[in-house]
Amino acid sequence: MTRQDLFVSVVAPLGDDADIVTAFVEEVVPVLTEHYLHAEIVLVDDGSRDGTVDVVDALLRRFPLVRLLRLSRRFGPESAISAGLETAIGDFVVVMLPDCDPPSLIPTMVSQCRDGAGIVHAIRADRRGDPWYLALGSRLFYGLVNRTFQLQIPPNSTHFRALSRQAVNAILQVRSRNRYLRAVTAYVGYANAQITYTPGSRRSRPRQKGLFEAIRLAAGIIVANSIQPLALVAWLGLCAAGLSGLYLLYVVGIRLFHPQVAAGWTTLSAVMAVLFGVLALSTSVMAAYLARILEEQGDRPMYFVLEERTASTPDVAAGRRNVVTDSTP
Amino acid sequence: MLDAIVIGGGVFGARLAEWLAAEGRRVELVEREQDLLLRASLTNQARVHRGYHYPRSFVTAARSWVNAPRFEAEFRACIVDTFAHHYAIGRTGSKVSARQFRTFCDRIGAPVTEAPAPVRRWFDPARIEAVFTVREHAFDALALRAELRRALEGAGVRIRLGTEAVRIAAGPAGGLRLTVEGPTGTTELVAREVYNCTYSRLNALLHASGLPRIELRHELAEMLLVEPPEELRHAAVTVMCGPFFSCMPFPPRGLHTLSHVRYTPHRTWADGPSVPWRDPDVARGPTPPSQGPAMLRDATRYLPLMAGSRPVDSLWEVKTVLPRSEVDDSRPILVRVGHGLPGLTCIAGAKLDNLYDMFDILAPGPAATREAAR
Repeated sequence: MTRQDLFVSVVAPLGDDADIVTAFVEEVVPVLTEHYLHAEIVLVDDGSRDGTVDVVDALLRRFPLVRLLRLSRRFGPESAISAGLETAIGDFVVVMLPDCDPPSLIPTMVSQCRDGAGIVHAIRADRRGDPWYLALGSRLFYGLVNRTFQLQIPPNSTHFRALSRQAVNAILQVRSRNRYLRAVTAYVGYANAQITYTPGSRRSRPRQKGLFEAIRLAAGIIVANSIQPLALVAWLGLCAAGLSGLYLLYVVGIRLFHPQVAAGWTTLSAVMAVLFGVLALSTSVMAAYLARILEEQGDRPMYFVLEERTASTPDVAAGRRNVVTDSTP
Repeated sequence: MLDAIVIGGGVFGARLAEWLAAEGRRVELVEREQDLLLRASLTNQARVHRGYHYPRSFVTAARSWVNAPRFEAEFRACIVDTFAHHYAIGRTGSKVSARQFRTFCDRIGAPVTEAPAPVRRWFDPARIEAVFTVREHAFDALALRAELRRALEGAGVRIRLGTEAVRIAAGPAGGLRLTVEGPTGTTELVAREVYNCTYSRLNALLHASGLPRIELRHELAEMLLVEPPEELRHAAVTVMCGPFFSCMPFPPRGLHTLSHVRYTPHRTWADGPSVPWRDPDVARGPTPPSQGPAMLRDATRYLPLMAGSRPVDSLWEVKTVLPRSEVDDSRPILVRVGHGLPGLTCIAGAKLDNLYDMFDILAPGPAATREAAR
């Protein structure tokens, strides 16, 4: 089989993955070298504390196409993937989790990407193996984000995806929204394609996402990518202000046309209606402006790179000739 | 007995031989290749460093700023100054920021201006923080070769081409006996002083002579020769300061070189007393597949117009750095006086224009320095 004249980058975040990273790389390397003339594997270490870096160091000696980018602490897989995307140079970039994503799908996804789809998502075939609350929660989540919040995240999507260079460049320009690749790949558009697969696991006991982690992730994705909840609050405030106005009319009407009104009720009610009306209106206005601020802000650095292997530190000595007598420090 | 023998006809060896031959001293130059300046003095970025490239090593930068004008004046005919040099600062992954770079230039006293807007537009603003334009030239190694040859002839230095120094030992009357193999067979030369300026092959002679080797690091380096896009025809671009790249004119071929911090070094290996001896020209191994496609792709991300460049060829050479440079990013010249034998000086060159610093260290006379070094 002839190898295609393409440069394919594989980006994989590592978080305490010392036990599986070797098996992962050993499986990816033959797939890449058999299909493509040029390739690289960018491993992004997300502050691992289990010796992952030492294991990758051994891999660096064995495979010239491996690169390691170390983040200075744990920033989470989303930021690690962003860092990897930023340093990957390939014509096509495949993002995958080393634990569960099968490298054998890379050629299919890249060729679909090449055929015009800017982004190829890998979609879980089903949620078998998930506890019932996660299955239910994910159904609720995707229903909510796709219908109510209009984010267009394909249901059961994973991190596993292939991106064209154009799509990568677009994603990297969306700086503040980078955190959730799932949402941002939907946001940048481009022709999308999907491929269905069943994630495996290199571990005998796969790491399971907890309920609270899942809820945090879901809330995070929505808050980071959608101002719809805020818009909802703005509308709610506006409605409440309107209702307060109507209530004020009602109170005045009762005072004018009702024969018997308890002393002080009218004043009290009118004051309450006016105050709550003002309050609700201000909330509504503030929510609207807050949404605007959220839309405008962005551009803060999302991570700080600790090192890229081949590092050196600044020289402080000065005032000498640029000559030494010893080759060793 | 000769006054001095210089082994290695690169820029450092040739210019040193000329310097040593002053005041009528008898000096010979031994070069393994068939001409001068055929190895690392030819195959490099051809940059006459003024210091801008070393914002993290004050000594290398400051000395380059001082020495470059002297080098440019001495070798005026070899200097190519018909292009502007743009230094771009990477936004992520750079070890200096635009502000630090400007402060650094102020500190070494090197002028720097923001690049004109049309030049700034060449770069992807998401990846480049700022672009500065400086005056920094290139040298033409072919012209330099002719110039140095003329200078050596003028100074009365005998040049032995195609001649390899194979062994050195203590000789008669406190001198040194150097065994050389050349077109006329094996010859023994005797000199008061011998200067080993063979860069990557520094340890080859030491090893063959049973002398302690110097700790060095070698790397097989690749530069891609490209036909630059129209905009870069009279421009050089260096992206600083991390895993980035540099594209600048290479006068000997009339093309540009593209070198990349991440992709230019292919293999690296250690050399020194603690590791078994491997001849660098053997240890470099067969020429590996070119990393040119990776260099071009990465460069295009920062400088999209690089997509319009056409790769022509790759240049390969063994590059030698001192282990200390891996710690502090400096590029000093190594000068070891009396290494292994009295009268034997080992020199590993670094930045060309810094060669005057070597003379300052060896002056006022090589013999006197040797005494002082003891």
